[in-house]
This record gives sequence, structure tokens and C-alpha cells, in this order.
Amino acid sequence: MTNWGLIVLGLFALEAGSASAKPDCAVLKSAFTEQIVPRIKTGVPFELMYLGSEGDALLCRQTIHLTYDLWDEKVSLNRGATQLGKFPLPQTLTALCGHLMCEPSETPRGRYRARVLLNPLWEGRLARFQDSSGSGLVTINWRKLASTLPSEKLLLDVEVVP
Amino acid sequence: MTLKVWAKLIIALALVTLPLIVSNHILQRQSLDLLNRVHGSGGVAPILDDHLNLLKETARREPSRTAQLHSKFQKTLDAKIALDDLSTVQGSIAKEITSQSLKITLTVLAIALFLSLFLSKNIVATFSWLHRQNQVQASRLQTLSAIESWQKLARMLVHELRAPLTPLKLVAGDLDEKYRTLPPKQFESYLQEGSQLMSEQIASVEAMVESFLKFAKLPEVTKRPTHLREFLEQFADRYRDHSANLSLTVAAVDETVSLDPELCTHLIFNLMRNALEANGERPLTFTVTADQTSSLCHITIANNGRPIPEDICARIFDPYVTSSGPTNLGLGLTICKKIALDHGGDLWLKSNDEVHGIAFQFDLPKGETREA
Repeated sequence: MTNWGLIVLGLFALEAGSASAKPDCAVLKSAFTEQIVPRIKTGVPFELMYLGSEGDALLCRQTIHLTYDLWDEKVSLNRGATQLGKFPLPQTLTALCGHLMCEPSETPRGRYRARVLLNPLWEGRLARFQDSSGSGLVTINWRKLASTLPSEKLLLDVEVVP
Repeated sequence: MTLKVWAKLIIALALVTLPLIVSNHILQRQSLDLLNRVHGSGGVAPILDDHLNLLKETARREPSRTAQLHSKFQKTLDAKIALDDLSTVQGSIAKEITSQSLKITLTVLAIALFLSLFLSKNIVATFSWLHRQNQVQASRLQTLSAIESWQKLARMLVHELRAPLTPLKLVAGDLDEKYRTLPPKQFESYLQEGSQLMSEQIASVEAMVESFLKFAKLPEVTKRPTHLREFLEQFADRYRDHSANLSLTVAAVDETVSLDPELCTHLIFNLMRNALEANGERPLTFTVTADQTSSLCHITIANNGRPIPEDICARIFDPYVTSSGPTNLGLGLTICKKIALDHGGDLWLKSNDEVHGIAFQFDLPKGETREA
């Protein structure tokens, strides 16, 4: 589904009468089924980033790291070192919406833009490659490398009416 | 620095940098290819996936081994994730390597440039210092040499003047006493002898003064185009009968050179006269030959006389150096050398090993035939 399609779907969902400042979880369902689930099943952890913005101003920002335990087939949702929960794949979408989509701290004046981005890597994960001895003449700064990596995909881009 | 120097510098930097950039690019390509082969569809990743499934299946069938298999499963999964991570960042790693190697190359070049500039500055400073020291030393040596020459001249003058002065002093001192004590006839005879002695000594002093005058007042060189063979043949015609014990032959090239005929005649004749004086009554055969190279004409003045003692050879052109007795002041060869140098050429004594007898070579520059 294209981004425009997602936007339309998002607007439709919002028109359905949600009073919350957060977008409805249904807007993420399609992206979850088609793009997030196959990604989860590879077993390689990744990051989802939620951004709420009004014009150039960032209203809220939330990141969740998803790790799929291929052994017991449960998805682990983490924020930094904190584990938010472990869920079977069918219940993951609801849990993800709850933890990922944040409410803007400042009340937006009108509609604001909500985006979900898929990042293959994050700073903390690549840090395990960092040479702790630091004795080499040429060393790769893995943290810096991760921070400069572009997002792989835009999974959701909707306008939210609080 | 001039534009040419900058251009050379840039070319040198390019020559140093280009192989680094190319080798860096090749290494990057090779390392990325290797990563792709490992991670690609036909590579390790599908094998790891199969392995993970197999471990999980085995654990289901054999619950007793679950802990052991789970540990292996985690390790395999870690490897798979690490491989995936590296694959994701491979483009960024390539960029990082390029950026770092470029930084290193530029740093090395900057250091090399700084060092070369610093060192060249120091070398130039050292050479300047050495040059200054050299000039100071040269000036000191020149002063010392001048003082030494004056001392030598003073010693020479004292020696030369003392010889005629002594008999003059004796004659003059005795004159009064002889006048009072001797009878008129004997006094007349004494006066005649004394007068003759005084005349001889005065002539000796005059000859010495004449020599010094020649040395002090050497005429300026006035060069004009002169045909060398004709010049030497005229010289031979003029001086062939100069002495009974002299035999003179000339062989020269047909070349026109710029020279002062009067001074060059003086030079060659002086060399000839020196040889005649040094060899006494011994008959001498002189050969004056002239040949040429691309830039010089060589006039060789040779004779079959006694060789010059080795200790004199090294300083033969110095003033007051002579081997022909006390009557010679030893200024002739110095004058000859000066004439040769004034012609832009040189005069030198050939080694005793090279010739039978004595041979001087007078080198004259070619190609300068306009009248001076």
C-alpha cells in the first residue's frame, strides 16, 4: 500500500470519531501485517520510531526495539534496556500501538502529522562491535555510524486531528 | 614559489595520492564483494536459518537436550544478526573507510609537506651560514695572504738592496781615509776601481727597479683577432736567431683567436729565455705547437732542458720563486701567468712525467674573435 493510501486510511479512521490525540491503532494494521511481521520473523531485531510533528516542530518522539525470539516465538518490545513486554505475534499489534504511539506533550493547534519509521539499526546495538581497546590507528566509530544511517522505510504517514 | 614549482608540487602530490585512492577503492570493492558472497542468497544466511530450524526441531523431539540446544540456538542467532547488521552498514563502512583513509593520506601529506618545508628552510639557513662563514674565512685568508705577500716583498727588497748597498757603503766609508792616506796615484787607481764597483751596483739596483716596474705596471691586454699559425711563425722568425744554442720549430693549427700579440709574444719569449738562463750553455731545442679542442686553443711551449725540481714545480708561478740564481727576481713566470689569465685562459706547467724536458701549456679560449 502506498503512503497516500495509508494517509487516506488514517484520515478515514480518524473521522470515525476518536477523541484521543493519538492516531487509531487500525491505521498501523496494514503496515504491521505486510511489512512489520515479515521483518519480525527474520529474527533480526529492528527499531520502530514514531514521530508526531506540527510543521517543523516535533511534538513527540518514541522508539521501540522489536526482537523476535525464534525459540519460543514471542516478540519482545524494549525501550533502551527496559523490556516492555513479551507477546505472541497476534497480540503484538495492540501492545505496539500502546507503547509506540505517544501523545504530544503540548496540545497541537490543529492537525498534526504522525509518522512511523523503520530503522534497521540503532546506536546501542552497533556498539557491541566497538573496539574497546581503541589502540588501532584507524577505528570505525560504530555508534556514529548507526546514528547517521537513514531510516529504511516509512511505514505510516497520517494526519491526526486531536 | 613560482608557478612551475607549484605545478611540480601538485604533480608530486597527485602521484603520491592517486595510488592510495586507487588501492583504497580496490580494497573496498573486494571487502564488499566478500561480504556479499557471505551474506547473499547462496551464502551463509540461508544455512544459518536452516540450522536454527533444525535446532528448534531437535529440541522439540528431544526435550532432555533443550538447554544445550537453546544455547547453540542463541549463538547461531547472534551470528545471523551480526551478519545482517554488517550487511546493513556495509555501504556506510565503505564511506567511513574512504573518509578515514583520506584523512590519513592528507595528514601524512601535510606532515611531509611541513617537514620538507621545515627541513629545506633549515638546509637553506645552514648553507647561508656556511656561505657567510666561508666568506669570512676567505676574507681572512685574503688579508693574511696580502700581509704575507707584503712581508715576502719586504724580505726580498731587503735582500736585494743589501747586496749592492754593502760594497757601496764600504767604498764610501773608505773614501775619506784613502784620500788622506794614499798617495795621489794610488788614490786615483782606488777611485777608478771604487767608481766602477759603484756603477755596477747601481746598475744592479736599476735592473731590480726595472723588474719591479714591469711587474707593477703590466700593460692592459688589448686583444684582436689573430691567426694563430701566422702569429707563431712570425714569433719563430723573430727569435730563431736569438741565441746560438737555440733551435726553434713551430707547428700550429689554422685558427683565428682573440689575443694581444705583444703580450703573448712576451709570454712565450719569457718562457724561452727562462729555459735558456736555467740551462746555461747547453743547446736547447724548442717546439711551439698549437692544437685545439671545442672551446680552447692549446699552445705548448716545450724544450729539452733540465727538468724543474719537484719542490719548485708546485709554486713556480708564485712571485720570487726561481731556480736560476740570485740575479733573477722570480717575477717573470708570475707576469706570464697574469697575461694568460687576463686573456681568459690559463698557463700551467706540464708534469715531468708527461714530457721529456719542460713543457708549459698556454690555454686560450676560442670563439671570441671580435676586436677588444
